[in-house]
Amino acid sequence: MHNLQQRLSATFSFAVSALFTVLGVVAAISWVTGYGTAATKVNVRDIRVIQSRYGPDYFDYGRKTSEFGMLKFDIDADLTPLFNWNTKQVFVTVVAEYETKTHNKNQVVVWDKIIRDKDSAKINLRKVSNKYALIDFSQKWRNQVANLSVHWDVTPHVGILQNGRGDTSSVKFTFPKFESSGGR
Amino acid sequence: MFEELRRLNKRQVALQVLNILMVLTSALMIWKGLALATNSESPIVVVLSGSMEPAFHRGDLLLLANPASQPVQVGDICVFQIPHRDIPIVHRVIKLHDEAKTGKQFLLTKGDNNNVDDRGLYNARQMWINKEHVVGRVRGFMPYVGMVTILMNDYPQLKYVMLGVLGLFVLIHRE
Amino acid sequence: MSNTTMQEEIKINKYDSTQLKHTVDDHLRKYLTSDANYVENHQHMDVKLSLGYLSCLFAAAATYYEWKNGFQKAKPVTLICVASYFVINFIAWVYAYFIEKQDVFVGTKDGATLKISARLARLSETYTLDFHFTDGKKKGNYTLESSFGKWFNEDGVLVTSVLEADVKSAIERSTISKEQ
Repeated sequence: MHNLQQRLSATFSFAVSALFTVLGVVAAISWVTGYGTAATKVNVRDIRVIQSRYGPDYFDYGRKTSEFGMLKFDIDADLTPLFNWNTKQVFVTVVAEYETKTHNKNQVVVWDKIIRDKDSAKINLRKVSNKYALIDFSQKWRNQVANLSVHWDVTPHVGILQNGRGDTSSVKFTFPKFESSGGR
Repeated sequence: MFEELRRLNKRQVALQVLNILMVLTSALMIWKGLALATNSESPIVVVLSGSMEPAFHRGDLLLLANPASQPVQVGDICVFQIPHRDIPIVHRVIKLHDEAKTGKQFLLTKGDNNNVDDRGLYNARQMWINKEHVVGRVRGFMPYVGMVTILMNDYPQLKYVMLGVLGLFVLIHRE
Repeated sequence: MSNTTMQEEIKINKYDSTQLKHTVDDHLRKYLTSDANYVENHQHMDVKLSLGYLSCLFAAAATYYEWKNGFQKAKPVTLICVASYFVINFIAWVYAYFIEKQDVFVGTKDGATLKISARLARLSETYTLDFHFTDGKKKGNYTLESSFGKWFNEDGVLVTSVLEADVKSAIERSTISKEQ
């Protein structure tokens, strides 16, 4: 240990191993303790179906007769239990799930929000419109029954990502058949 | 520095070369072992863009997994590679449609920090991506560690310098 | 060979214990094979080299096969190669730990075998060399314990004459020690 090169190299390798050990321990602790569950509630206020078209990028949706769902819902969620020392952000989504004859599993995100700290973790919103196009793969809603639920995804500062969902299997709604007279 | 090397006989030189090979191959085999364990071709990736902020920033490191037993769900953050595009994209799945008859999956993705979905990034006329395009799902996260890779991409000479220094170091020192 | 060693000084960093050990071991081998006319047995080194390079072949094979066939199709082959790589290296480690142990020289002369193993405590300057001599039924050993300071001078140069003299006397003592 009598020259600079040896001292630098020994210090450097020790620092790196110590750093990675600490990060590993942090990740392991969070993985074991998890992030808890949140209480969420969502209910549907209004559902309409209109016909519209998207721009040229949306190749399949260029037809004027593609059916889009216009949804309004309420959401109450208390996501504070998900925030611990290792939580970097929580990504909340409201998801519509349904089954059709041709497709056995369909999941569509209608609304999402990024929550970065505990203070903004309580959500109480009314008459929220869907952020993203509610359109089926077949571009038609035929009295389709769907259910609406809240999902969350926790991103840690260091470690394993964890997700969960609220229990809202009872929140079902039906897409009305498109009436040719209405719509914008 | 090199005098010791000159004094070695053939077997000892072979041993020094083997030492370098062992450093390289053990890293390679550990990487491949991890790829097998996670069922993902590239189990560790570096975030290259800011399209997933504030969750992921440029230079963060992601651990991927692609277990066949757990299908992709909406809300999962996936790394996918579109044919004819070199760079894999790390974005969240916002739409998912499973076709019952064929088992084919139709996915639409979007970056958290982007206003529009990824159809602009897919190939022309491509509306969806499928299971085959997904390299893996993001399971683990470590901040900043990947900055080294980004620096090496931006300044490719740095890559050669670092490899050269490492190789020299292993070659010259015995045990 | 001994002429060239006398003309070329072997100078190293006297504070680096790894270099001290290697220099002594290297010169020990040189002396034994040239001046003392022993034939060196390269088994330990050969085993280490063959197993090591064999494992590298498996690593190369895995890389090549995956490059040709894509990750998913190559998975079973990759698994076999990765497993083989680690198993072969484990065998090499077992060999080094149980069979090679601390040997620095194994050689034969006129039917007799000389094995020298070494011990060096961490951060210590005392080097212990165990000389084991076997000739048919006759066995002898002698332990030479010395400080590096006896063999290297102030400038870090190996004083070959002192080392060679010590080794010569150690061999003689190991050959006569258990004659009964």
